[in-house]
Amino acid sequence: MSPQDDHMDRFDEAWRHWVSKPPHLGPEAASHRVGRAIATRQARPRRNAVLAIAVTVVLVAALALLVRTHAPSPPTVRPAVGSGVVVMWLDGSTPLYMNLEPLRLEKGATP
Amino acid sequence: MSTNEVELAERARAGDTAAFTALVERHWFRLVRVARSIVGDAEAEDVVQEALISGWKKVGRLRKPQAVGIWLGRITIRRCLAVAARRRPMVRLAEAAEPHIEPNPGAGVDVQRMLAALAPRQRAVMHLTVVEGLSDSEIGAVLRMRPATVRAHRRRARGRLQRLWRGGTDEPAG
Repeated sequence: MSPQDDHMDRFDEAWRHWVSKPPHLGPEAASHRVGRAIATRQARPRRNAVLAIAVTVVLVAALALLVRTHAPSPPTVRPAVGSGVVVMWLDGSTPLYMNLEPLRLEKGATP
Repeated sequence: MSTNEVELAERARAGDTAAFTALVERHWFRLVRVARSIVGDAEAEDVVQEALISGWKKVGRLRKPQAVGIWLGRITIRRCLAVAARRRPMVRLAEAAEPHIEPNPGAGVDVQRMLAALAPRQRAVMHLTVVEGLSDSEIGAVLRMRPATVRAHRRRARGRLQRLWRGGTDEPAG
């Protein structure tokens, strides 16, 4: 056996010795702790689901309120339009007038 | 493995917490040992607990109840490797050089300091070789690597430890 092998054997022995000392937590206490943590985590998703639903309801209500507040209000003064005129409101203050007339075709023209 | 353990594994897979904690109780020492070798003494027990708690979520997917011991070892080692990868090397090899060797094996050799010079995966391979006495194919099954890769990790780890023992310097482990 070379001196290096001897060193490695001694290191391996020291390693086995070091790693085998008893843990601070015994197996019973450890399994109890793991069991308790699992039970806590199983309860948590239900609590989280209730919280998520509540948050969603509040967000939807807030969004609905926001949309209602910022929706363009219909114009208070209706412009007088004759027959064959269509008015489209691009926003609260910009009307777009479209005149509808029958197409008058010259002789020989195509529509 | 006893039939009882297979039964416990099957019950745990079906969602029985008591069966799972019974398995934890049986394997606790072994799992703490491997965690010690990879992440060090201070964090080992916490890391094993974390691994087991997250393992509970995956136990339903356990394919071979007869190999529950290997599975527990694998999830523990995986967690240990993740923890070790997140932190910087505990000690530089140059700092760890010149270990003090006492004639009494196990006394005076700063094992943790020596192990810190190895890469986490090398520590895992070496632990399963030196402490658990597993064969290359068994180590390969636990770590999901080929026996040739196991041998390569071990060869590199041995080389590094020998250089360290001689008091040489080397790059710190990644």
